[in-house]
Amino acid sequence: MAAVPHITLGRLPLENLRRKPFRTTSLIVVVAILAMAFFGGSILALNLNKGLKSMEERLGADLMVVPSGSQSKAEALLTNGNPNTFYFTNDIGERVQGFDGVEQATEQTYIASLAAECCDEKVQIVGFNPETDFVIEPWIASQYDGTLGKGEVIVGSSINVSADNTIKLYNHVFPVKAQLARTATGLDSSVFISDGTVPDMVSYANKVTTRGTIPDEYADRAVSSVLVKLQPGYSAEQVADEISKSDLKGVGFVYPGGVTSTTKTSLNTILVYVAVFLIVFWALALIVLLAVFSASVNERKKEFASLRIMGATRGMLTRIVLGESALIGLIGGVIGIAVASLVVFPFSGAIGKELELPYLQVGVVPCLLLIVGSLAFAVVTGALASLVSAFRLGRPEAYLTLREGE
Amino acid sequence: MLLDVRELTREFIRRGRTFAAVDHVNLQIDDGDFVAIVGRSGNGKSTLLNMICGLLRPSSGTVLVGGRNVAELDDRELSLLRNRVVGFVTQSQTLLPNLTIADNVMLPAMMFPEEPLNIMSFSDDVTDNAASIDDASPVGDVPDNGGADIVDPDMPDVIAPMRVEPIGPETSPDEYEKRAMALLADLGIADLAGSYPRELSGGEMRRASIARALMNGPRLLIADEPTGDLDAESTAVVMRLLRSVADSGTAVLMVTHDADAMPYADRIVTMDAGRLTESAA
Repeated sequence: MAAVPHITLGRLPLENLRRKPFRTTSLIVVVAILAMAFFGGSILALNLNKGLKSMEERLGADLMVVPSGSQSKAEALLTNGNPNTFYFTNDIGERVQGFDGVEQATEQTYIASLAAECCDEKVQIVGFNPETDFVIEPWIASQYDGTLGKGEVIVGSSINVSADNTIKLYNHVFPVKAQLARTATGLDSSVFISDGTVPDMVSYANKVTTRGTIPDEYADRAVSSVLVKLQPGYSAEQVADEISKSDLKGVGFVYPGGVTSTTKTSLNTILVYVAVFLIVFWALALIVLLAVFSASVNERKKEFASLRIMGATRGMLTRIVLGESALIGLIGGVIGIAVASLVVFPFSGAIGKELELPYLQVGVVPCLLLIVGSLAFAVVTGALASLVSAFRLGRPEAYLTLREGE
Repeated sequence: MLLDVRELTREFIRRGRTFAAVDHVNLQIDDGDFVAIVGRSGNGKSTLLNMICGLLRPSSGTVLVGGRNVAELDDRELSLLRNRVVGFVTQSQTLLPNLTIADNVMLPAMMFPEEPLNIMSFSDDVTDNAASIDDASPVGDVPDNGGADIVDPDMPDVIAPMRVEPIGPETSPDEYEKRAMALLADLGIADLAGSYPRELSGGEMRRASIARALMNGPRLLIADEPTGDLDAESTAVVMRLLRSVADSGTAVLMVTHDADAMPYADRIVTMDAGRLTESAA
């Protein structure tokens, strides 16, 4: 006797789905879109959160003292990385250090390279003092254990480094000692040099152009900003106010906390949109699934009555209905997550650029957890949609209902 | 006593008024009995059958099947009773549309895998025997599934004498397949094993339903209007089959208002306005 396809009670939901290809496909598409939206939205939210966290960590200063009128340039430098050059012409660093409430102060110098033949690309050059820095140095130290020497550079993650590990800036080739991990801030498109290299950089720049660069006369003492860490009990506004009242003129202030809070507000707005969209879409999908499963059980009254006659318990009928919907949830979930992954992962950079917010891809483990969570969400939604039908079939005299109209 | 129905009553409420669809019914059936219940539509016949199977709860009275009070069984015990002790051939077509005929027939045997299925099984020999009969008198195509039709030219569609072998706890799926194919072969529809119900005629579906009801070797076969939508020829085939089932020791309780079906029964009882009265066979 040749083998006949053999049925089992456990395989019954699969057979039922297989024999109703149109209905099954439609339901799978609904669940797949739901899973895609859930997974895509969640990964977006996680990546934005990670980006913001990274940004907060990178902008570790409580207050930035910058030349008056340069505040927006300084903010741009922190957020979207638009290269700029601005500088003080006085001994600002030492002066700021002396104010009440200032625990630590460090100077940085910002020089923009050019999008011209002299430079590999237009980048923000950030000169910092490795001795006093408390913002960039800890981050660099976490990824580069050497000391950044004179004439050497460390580059952010978005910088294109040539094959021989160098970068050309103002017709000078600098050896690249390390490339840092992505932070989703303007620092990703920055090149870091020690304060000892700043005068040389100014000199190289002035050989190429004198427009928008730091004049040679200030090369040794040009400071673009003073980053301040406050003592406990002092607010940034309080210290800024003190500085403003002093004889130190021509200073402006940037509050990195404010920059991150603006970003946080934008981020929260997006997250609220995502959450509302997901809730509305989930409710719609649930209603559609609920209606389809309910109609399906009505259509299949005779089939369920038949199973009951054969000896199926109420639990078996419930399991068949739940099994079908859970299968649809599983298949739809896998498809939805796969499609969302094809968009979210390869185009992570483009998404971040489009959102104009710090966007940092979360690690493998959170991604895997989210995949499992999204699958569970899809399966539970499917099962939830058939719960009413399953409950109706599970009632003691459901057979009466099943035979209605006969 | 296989079936003992005592003072069975089921009341329904219609437009605020209570009426008894089944009214103090008494009925006793032994193994091998063939009892026909006749009566007009709406007189409570199907309600009575459904209460015997435990699909409906009685308002009062008792149903004892094999000495067990159906009303005292929980859902699982009742389902097991329907699965193992009672075979039900419904009035309307209730084959599952998504399964092949073979799978439809096998499905009842798959419902309680943890419970040993002690039924009388057709052995391999029966199938082999069927093949040899078929070789001797070919009737139509014999599918390569091996389930050859057993056809007696003078008495088609009658269950062939069966060799009895208990299927114990170690029953393998293959044995289920063999039994299902043998049943289909005995009913003359083995070649339809791989077909879906929509591809079958009314008579063929009825025979497939009977095969399904017999799959687990029930002690009581209930048939609700088994010839309701059949032509005379198919009616004869089905009735001879039911007669043969009764002759092999399975009690048959049939509801019908088909005069052609009645002569096959040992006893005829009439149901009128929910009450049952004995008639002459």
